[in-house]
Amino acid sequence: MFVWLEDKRRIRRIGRWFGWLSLALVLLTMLTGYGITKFRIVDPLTAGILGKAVSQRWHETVGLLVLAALALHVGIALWSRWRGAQD
Amino acid sequence: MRQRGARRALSRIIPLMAAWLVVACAGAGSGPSAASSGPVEIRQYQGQNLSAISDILETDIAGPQHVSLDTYRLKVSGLVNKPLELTYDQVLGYDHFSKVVTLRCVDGWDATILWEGVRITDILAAAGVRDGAPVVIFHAVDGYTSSLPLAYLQANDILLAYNINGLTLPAEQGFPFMVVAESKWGYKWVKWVDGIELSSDTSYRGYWESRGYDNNGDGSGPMFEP
Repeated sequence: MFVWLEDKRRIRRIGRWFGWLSLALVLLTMLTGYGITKFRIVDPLTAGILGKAVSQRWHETVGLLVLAALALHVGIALWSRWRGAQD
Repeated sequence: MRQRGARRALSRIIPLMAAWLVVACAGAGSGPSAASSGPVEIRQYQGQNLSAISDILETDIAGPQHVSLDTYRLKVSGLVNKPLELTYDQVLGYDHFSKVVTLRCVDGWDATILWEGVRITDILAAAGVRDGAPVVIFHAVDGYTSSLPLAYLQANDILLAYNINGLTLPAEQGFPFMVVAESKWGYKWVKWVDGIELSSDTSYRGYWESRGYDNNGDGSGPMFEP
């Protein structure tokens, strides 16, 4: 079932994608953080999409997603190093 | 050679840093609070430590408002028998009360402050509230609005504060008047109040309430509308 996991290159690629996802989520965390405290700037800049309330709701959720994506990114990187050392 | 250059640079920088530290420390002790003989901010009240006024962060929709008392009037309108237009001094003519209340902001900070003010219900009694007006809408100079139930104001003796930690409200904190909506989230604490409107509209939503925040605004309840 997990034969594709044997393809190290593919796994590394997935790890890299989680890295990019982490970066995007970190940027979103920062933006929503500014959306809470600097709403007078962020709200008009985002055409009202990131108002204070929306920013606050997203900020609370995105934090957990960042941790999950970062953990996967680091975990996959460590795992592929470990597998590489074994081979 | 490189090491000698670095050492020479350090020998120049260190005395400069030391001099700066001496000047900064000397300056810290002779700030305006230490030198001024005017009223001093209260930081302890009946054995309770108070937050500093500066702990209240600026989260207002249009920045601090500067209100002139020459033109200022507190309007009491809506479902009242006698609409009022009160000057600052007239409002201060009502009985004064003090309370230590913690302001909790949805942004995550809080500040425990000694508030002094008049009871909002005393002003409403002077205007004579008509039957069927369960909602009190507060209007601010900057266009901000929020509402509170009349029953809540009556049950909790909610203050319209003019003093904060023993000092007159600064412009940044809502001079001339601020609603001390104890046990409610900070967005219910209207600053720069210039209007109190009695309304029958129970579906009324204030500035932040119409943008997703909970209309009850209970500090122990949800922050957002479901």
